[in-house]
Amino acid sequence: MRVPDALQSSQWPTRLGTLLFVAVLAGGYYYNLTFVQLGLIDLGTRVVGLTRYQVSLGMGALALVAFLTALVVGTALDRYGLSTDLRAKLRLLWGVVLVQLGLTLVAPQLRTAPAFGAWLVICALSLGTGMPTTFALAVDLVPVADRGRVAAAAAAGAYFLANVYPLQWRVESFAVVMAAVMVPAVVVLGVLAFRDVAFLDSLASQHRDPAFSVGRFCRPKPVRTWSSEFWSFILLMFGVFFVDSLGFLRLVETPAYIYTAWQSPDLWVHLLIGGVHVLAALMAGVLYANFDRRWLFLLVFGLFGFTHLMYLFDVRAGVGEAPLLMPLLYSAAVGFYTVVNFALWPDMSTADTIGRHSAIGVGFAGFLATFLSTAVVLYTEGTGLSLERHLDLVDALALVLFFALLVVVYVRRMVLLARERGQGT
Amino acid sequence: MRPETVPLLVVALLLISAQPGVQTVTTVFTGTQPLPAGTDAVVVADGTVTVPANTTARTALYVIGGSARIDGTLDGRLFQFAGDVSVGPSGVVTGPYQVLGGDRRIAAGADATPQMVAEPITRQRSPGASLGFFLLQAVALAVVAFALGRRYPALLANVAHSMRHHPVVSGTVGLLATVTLLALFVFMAFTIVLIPVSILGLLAGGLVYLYASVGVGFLLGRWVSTDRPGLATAGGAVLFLVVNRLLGAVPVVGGTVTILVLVVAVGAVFVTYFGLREFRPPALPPVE
Repeated sequence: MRVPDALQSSQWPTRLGTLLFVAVLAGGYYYNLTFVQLGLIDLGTRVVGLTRYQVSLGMGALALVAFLTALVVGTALDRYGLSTDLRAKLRLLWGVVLVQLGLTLVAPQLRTAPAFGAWLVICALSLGTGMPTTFALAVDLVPVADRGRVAAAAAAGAYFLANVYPLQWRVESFAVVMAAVMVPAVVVLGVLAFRDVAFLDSLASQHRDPAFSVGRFCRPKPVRTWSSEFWSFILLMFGVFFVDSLGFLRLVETPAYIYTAWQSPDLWVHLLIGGVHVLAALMAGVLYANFDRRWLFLLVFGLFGFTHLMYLFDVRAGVGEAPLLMPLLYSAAVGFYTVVNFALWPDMSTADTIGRHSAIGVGFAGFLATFLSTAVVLYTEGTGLSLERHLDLVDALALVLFFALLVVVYVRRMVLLARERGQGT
Repeated sequence: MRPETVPLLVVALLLISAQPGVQTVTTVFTGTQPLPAGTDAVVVADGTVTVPANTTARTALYVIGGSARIDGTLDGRLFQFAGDVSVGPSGVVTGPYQVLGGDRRIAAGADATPQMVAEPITRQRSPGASLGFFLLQAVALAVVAFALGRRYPALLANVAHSMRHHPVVSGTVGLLATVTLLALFVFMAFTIVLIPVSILGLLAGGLVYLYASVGVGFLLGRWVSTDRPGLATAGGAVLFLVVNRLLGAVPVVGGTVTILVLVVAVGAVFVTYFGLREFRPPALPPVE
């Protein structure tokens, strides 16, 4: 049953289930975007008093621990049949949100490096547990035909809010917002997980319907974990995250770019960037449902290559305030790949593999890429590499991936045509 | 940067590339700042550049938008395509000051003499001239639409089908293609070396826009007649032009509707490979 049909026939459980998934995914990603990625830098440097280098190392360690935890949890979910147990997943998520609420309230009180380190480890464990569990909800709550749109809605919501509120990248601001959102989330998830809620009963069995449980790219045959197809997309997504993180980690340290865009004092700039995120996410949702996945990756690499090229022009020859077009294109590229990231792993999984596949997908491509790019940025900063040379390297990487993928897509098409021709004669 | 400055930017960069000895070009898009130093040419696309009193700026200045305020000495040529140029009483322009358009305020005592390269079109066309220009546009579009509609009705049918049955997909692709390709071609022009590619790209974009307009004409014409696709397409294209003109009179909404239709049409051209194949969204395959 697709969501539009559900709307027409007033099938409220399906409708509410999809909304629940959007809310959980958007909320989780908002927490990751704001509190984890931005709040930790402020917490480590300003509140705890560590150097930027030490905080970056800590965040790299967080990414690595989160990746390993996700692997363990995702594999366990599939192996012990929890991937198809809706209430078990909701209980796990409730626990994760409860831990994160505690971490959020404690964070502004941290003052020492060991406490900060312990905080990072617990945060990584909760992120690694929450991520595959959230994605595994897709086989119960989201019809396969709607995954592009649902991913678009989650990405649009998370990015718009992250860009608009809070405007100050201070851990205290983030903590207040997070706590205000998490307290009702804990209550709602607690009720759904531990009380007998009628509408969940019908949702809990939806994974038996192939329209929910067999991903778009698992038709007619499921994608195997150790297949070249699965790992080719893991590597592509790894490349996307790596390019994004590698470039952004330097841009975010450059006042000329950060204070005219993501940290601008002008609310309209934030609204514009948030609006572009929403538009890009909606466009990506449409493109994801109607075109081959490879074209979307091509588009993302192309956009990143072009955007970094624009930044290079500005570094070399720009004067005055940096053009807003650059962060807007950057936001569009990020919006596109986030939607693909949200929809791709459930669509390359069945109800039996969703935990492991999403853990490898998001963990390897997202967390590990972030860990490695952080290490590379720290290394290049240590060698005194200028912003211009750094962006040169990022741009070169994006363009190499763009052209490599273009060649692969083209050659693959050629092989298919040759086979068709061979069969014809 | 405003979209209308894009063609002027390409022309300015083309002119700069023709100047001997120009190695570096700087473009100003926003803000107010003194004329940048250490560059051979400066293009003002938006924002304001100033040459403060008692200072000398050695560079060529190209104003295609925004404004330039000269109270000191500009030691180089000044080329004004559009925008505002004001020269204060102590302002001096040592090189030629050539004007194609825009507004000027030259104070008494200033040492700057504008030379009109071409008469700027500042006055409104008379109603008769406007009608004549519009009829010329309509006839040209009708001829192209007639030829395409008569010779390649199957291609236009695919484009029209995509516009009518898949407007969201077509609109998404159209918006993405328009924004990214426009930005790409403009930035190509900055490399100087790729100016010819940039110009070709913008020309190709214009042809796609024309083809998309004919596609809309085919869609409209089909509701009238399908026996004579050439005539129907020509009629539809002219009708589209007329409706556009009428919509132009409605502030904000009119222009938005026109842009939306064109974006969908451009997207339909791309998703159908210029009409070579019908666009069909993928269906969810069955489970084995």
